Amino acid sequence: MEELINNLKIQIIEALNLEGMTPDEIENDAPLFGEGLGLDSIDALELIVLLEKQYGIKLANPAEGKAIFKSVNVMAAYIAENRKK
Amino acid sequence: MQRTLVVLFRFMPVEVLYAFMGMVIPFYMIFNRQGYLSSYHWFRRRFGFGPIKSFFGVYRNHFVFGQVILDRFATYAGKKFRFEFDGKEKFDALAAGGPGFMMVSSHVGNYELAGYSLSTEGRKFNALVFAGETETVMKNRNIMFGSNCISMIPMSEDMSHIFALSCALSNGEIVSMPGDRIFGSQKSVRCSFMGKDADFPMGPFALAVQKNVSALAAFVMKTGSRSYRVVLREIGWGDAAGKAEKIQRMAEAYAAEMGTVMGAFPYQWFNYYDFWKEDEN
Repeated sequence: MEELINNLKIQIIEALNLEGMTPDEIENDAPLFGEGLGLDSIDALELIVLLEKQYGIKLANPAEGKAIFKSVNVMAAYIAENRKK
Repeated sequence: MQRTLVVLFRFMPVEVLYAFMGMVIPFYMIFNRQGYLSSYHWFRRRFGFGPIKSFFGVYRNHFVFGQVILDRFATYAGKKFRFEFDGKEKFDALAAGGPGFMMVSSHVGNYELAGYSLSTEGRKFNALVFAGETETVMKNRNIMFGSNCISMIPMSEDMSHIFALSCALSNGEIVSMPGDRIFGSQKSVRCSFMGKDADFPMGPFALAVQKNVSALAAFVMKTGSRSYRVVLREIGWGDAAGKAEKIQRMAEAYAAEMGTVMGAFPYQWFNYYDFWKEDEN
């Protein structure tokens, strides 16, 4: 799980172009949207595509989307359970 | 008021309400200063009209804006409009099969009527709308659109609309969203439009690029009291390679198509604010 979380942070930094940020600076439980990283709707789209491309996960239910992206920890747990690659 | 309009249109020709509306417009021009100025500058700066011609241009612009709003309610009441199409073969080819695709709309003409005039061949059509629409408008839209496989996705603070739009495209459905106004995410793309750089929302173009789907710019322009022209143009990213470059190229293609349409229909520009941010300083 540790490795998955670290890889995920690296992928988030790359996908969202968070220049100058290191994985250590993203707290595992900090909210990704609003406070925390302060991501917006276009960033949400980037994360959706990241899940599809990196882990083969297609979100079928729009209602669960926001909950999955609550924090890096929640995202990693969802990936571990649903990844196809 | 809106419900009354729907009832009135059941008994009255549209032209009667157009005439009534024409008498109200001068008051609107006097009291809605921002709307007046943005429209006046549109004619002065973008088309080089003189002050008098621009003044009457504002009146005509407001008149057509009133007409397209009344036409929506007339449609809810069952009135029919004639549509001629320009570029429909592109829409038909995309709607006939294959992956999902996008329709990028704008606040010009009467885009909502595209929903009544285009057949999606049974494919679901998802239109992103502002969450603040009134109950009457939403109810009538749902009645009108229900038979045409169209559903509304309200923009939401919790960003659930992004997940819904993405899922829809993944499921091979059609997604429609405006490409001229920045809302939600403040990320934008700067493009030349009508001779001067302006900011366009990144969202619709990022969605098309990230989901790797085709997109059409769609404009439904009023050509007579009971007729419209539906202009459909494919907007792509050509041979652009990176994500950012693709988004930029696509936004530029959209701005160029909208510029061409506005050159032909200058009185149907309904973005009543400082679109080019020329008066901010």
